[in-house]
Amino acid sequence: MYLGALVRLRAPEPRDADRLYELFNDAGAVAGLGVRYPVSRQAELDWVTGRGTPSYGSAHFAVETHDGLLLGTCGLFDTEWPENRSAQLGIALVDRSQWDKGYGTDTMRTLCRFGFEQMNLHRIELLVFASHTRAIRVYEKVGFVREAVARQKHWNAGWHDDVLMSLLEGELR
Amino acid sequence: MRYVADLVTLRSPEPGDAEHHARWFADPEVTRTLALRYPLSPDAVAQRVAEGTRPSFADRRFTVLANDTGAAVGYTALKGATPENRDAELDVVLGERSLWGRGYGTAATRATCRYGFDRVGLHRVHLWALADDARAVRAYERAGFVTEGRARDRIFKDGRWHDCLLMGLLAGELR
Repeated sequence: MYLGALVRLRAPEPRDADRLYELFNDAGAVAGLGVRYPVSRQAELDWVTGRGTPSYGSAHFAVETHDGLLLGTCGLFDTEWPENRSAQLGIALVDRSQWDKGYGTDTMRTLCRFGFEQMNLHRIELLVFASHTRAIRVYEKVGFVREAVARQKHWNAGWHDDVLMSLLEGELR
Repeated sequence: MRYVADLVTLRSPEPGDAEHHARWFADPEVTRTLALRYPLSPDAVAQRVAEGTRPSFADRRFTVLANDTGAAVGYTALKGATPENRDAELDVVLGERSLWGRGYGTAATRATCRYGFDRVGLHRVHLWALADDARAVRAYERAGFVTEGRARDRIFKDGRWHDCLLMGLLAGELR
């Protein structure tokens, strides 16, 4: 368990599968995430079961409020060369009824603090849809810097740009 | 498979290419700009080359031959494409250092991207270059790549952090 001001991060559990199944099939909630295909209950169960032991190369977490309400998932992964001490960040807070309460910002801060303090990362990077301004504002608030615009990087009923953002150790706000 | 272009020809990797790869990987000037960090045994090199002999949409590798001599001068690859996004990451390695500065890197870049757009149906090709690897960046720019941004401290090598440039090329931009 890793504690933030509003949320806590813990290892995913099989009991999370049913709620994640409901949340990740809410098209409005996952529109900004690039989730293309419907997800089955079994696929969610396989996903959480395979991520019960967060580690340097694959640190995925369930995000919940201090009261234990599951908000979604987040993670630091793709640390292919540990020499670079760089990870990709993913965050999916997919309960729309809990948006705009500061959970996204607190999850970002808590996850990045975990990455720097526990994993000894030097750099955390993410790709976000350029149209996803709500998310980009949150990332900038905690210190992420826009580094690149990858043109026409993904298809979603047309070609769309992605923004590459990163946060180096010492830059977390 | 042989794909003939200006200056160079791309062909499918063959097990016999391993001896060339081993020679290239033994040159620190070649590996300086590669992700490769640890020395590879001949077996490990042979295994890497063998992996490239089974091409797929998401992993296509090529041995680059010089048209004038027929000799292998390097290799290229298009990796990581998904059918939905049709965006691949490009690798270009010109292993024969004696041939640097003669346009083979630019020619191999052009030929591989042309293949990716015309034969594979890619929409976009991107690559990561070390920000201070001016020679490579110039070759990519000549082929039409655009610098899309600079990723800070993305690589640790040779005792320090290196920035990387993200460069992208869309179908129709190849020169």
